[in-house]
Amino acid sequence: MITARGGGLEDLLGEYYAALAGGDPGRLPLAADVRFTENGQRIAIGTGLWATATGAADSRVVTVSEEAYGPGGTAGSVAGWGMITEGGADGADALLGVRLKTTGKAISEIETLVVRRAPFGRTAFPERLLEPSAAMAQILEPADRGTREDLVRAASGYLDSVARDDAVLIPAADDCVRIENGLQTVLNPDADGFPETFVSSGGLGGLGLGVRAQIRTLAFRYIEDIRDRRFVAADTERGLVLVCCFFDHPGKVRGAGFDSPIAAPNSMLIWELFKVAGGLIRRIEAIGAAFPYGMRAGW
Amino acid sequence: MGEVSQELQERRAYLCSYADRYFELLPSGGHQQLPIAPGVIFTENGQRLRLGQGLWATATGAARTRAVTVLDGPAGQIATWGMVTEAGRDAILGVRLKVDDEGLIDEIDTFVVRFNDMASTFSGSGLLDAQRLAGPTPGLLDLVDEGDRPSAAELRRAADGYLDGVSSGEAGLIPVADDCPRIENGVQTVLRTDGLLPGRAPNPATAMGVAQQVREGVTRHIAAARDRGMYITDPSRGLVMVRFFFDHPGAVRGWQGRAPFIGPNSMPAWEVFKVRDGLIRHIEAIIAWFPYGYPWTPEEQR
Repeated sequence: MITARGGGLEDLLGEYYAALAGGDPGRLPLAADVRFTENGQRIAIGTGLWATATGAADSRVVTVSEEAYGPGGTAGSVAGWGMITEGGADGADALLGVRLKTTGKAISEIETLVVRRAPFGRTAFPERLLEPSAAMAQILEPADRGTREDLVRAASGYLDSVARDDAVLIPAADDCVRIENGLQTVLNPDADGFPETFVSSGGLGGLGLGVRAQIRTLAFRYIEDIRDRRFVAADTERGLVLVCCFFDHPGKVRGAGFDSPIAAPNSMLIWELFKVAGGLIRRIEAIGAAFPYGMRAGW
Repeated sequence: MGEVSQELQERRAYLCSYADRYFELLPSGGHQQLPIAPGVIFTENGQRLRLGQGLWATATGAARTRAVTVLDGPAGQIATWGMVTEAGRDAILGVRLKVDDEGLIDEIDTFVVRFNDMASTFSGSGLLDAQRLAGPTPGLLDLVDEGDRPSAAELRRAADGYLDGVSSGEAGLIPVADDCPRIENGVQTVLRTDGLLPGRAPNPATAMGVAQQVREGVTRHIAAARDRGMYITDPSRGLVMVRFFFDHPGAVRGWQGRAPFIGPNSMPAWEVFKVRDGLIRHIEAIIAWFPYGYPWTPEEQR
């Protein structure tokens, strides 16, 4: 369901994907000094994925928007992600996250995250990424809603908890589901969607466990820090908040006392969307990709 | 055979000792034992890190001898690369050190080429001949006869000519000998008598020379040789090194040529050219695959 209030911004995101598939940024109301990044790099609009994209899925998996005051039309921020195709018939699928900021008249900021590698050693992206996530889009009962600050606090608690290996910090419901690049990484005892290579590695402390239980097994010790957190959009009606951040993975550090599942240092750019109701995190959906250790987002 | 002064030879040995020490200390993480200037700038793969982070925390081995070394004695700069082990896997480490007048290292730039790395924008494993990079490249450090020695400016022009020629498709811009080999991550990628790269399908382009590849459009997928810098020149050996990015726009709509990559990426490279008598005679490079548009210089130094 899309409310009249949010419709304008969500439509804008849809227009972005449509224009991208046609390779025509001129169809969008771009500010003259629009700032564009792809995977953390500031490049000219029209280059990068703009030059290679040949198709976009009909709908986005998730969308989150937040209005602000602007000189005309609907100002604010909107972000979401969905599947696209690069390189035509002989090309490849990719998962694309887009964040737009508009003044109401023109788009002033475009941040994109392109995930070109299928997740967890799979050969293809999960089918789930072609469909909207109904659970995320659901509007909350007024009694379950919080303020933007409440949403940010809940999401920060989760990130602190993962970064510090302290499950107490995390305000998550026991049945909280987490989807990463289209695969369910908690409460998934049958390892649905995961290749055998990942399952046998015992990754994430066990796919059958819940969010907090995984942290209690110290499964995330290999995450050194979660830095440069930006809470780019919050929707209090739906209880949604999106954070863009980096997970730093130093790799298999000598003398660490545990075995990191990630061999060489990298930093993962992650967009993580939290659904918070009644003060508890009910659902998490995230996309991400690994980049050189220490990389910045360009924002 | 050419000659160099006693003073330059001593300077050379002095700078090489810093590079040797760097590789010796790396596997135990003993960076504190390096003679480091206060405020040293340390980068790994274009990111500013604290000395001790990145490969310093993960390396478990380093070769005693290295494949390539270029140095500029008067400027106190040395660049070198060789094999290291990280978490049991082979990787290539390029290091560039600048030593100040007091004998302290005040700049460290490193380039770590990792294979089967999840942070790579190339999904394949990438070619590597670790054996070849384990020791010095034959002939590379030979002195050039004084009459054939290029000036520092000529060396830079030769390197730039190569980069301009490859990225624009103009073979005429490249002052290169027909028999010039080019070795990338230890693997020869031109003039191959077997006509294929190890483990790959036969490819007639691998039998061509450097200029012929450019003439025949083999390098057309390269849009730019961008962000060039860190030139180090050594006229006595006819060597110049440059670091840069080759931009690969990928499978661009409407493109009719060969596009070895679907999604766009930028290929970081440290490349060394041996120049004699006006022509490039030998090319050595180490390369990887980073996000499209990635810069060599960290954000806070730009």
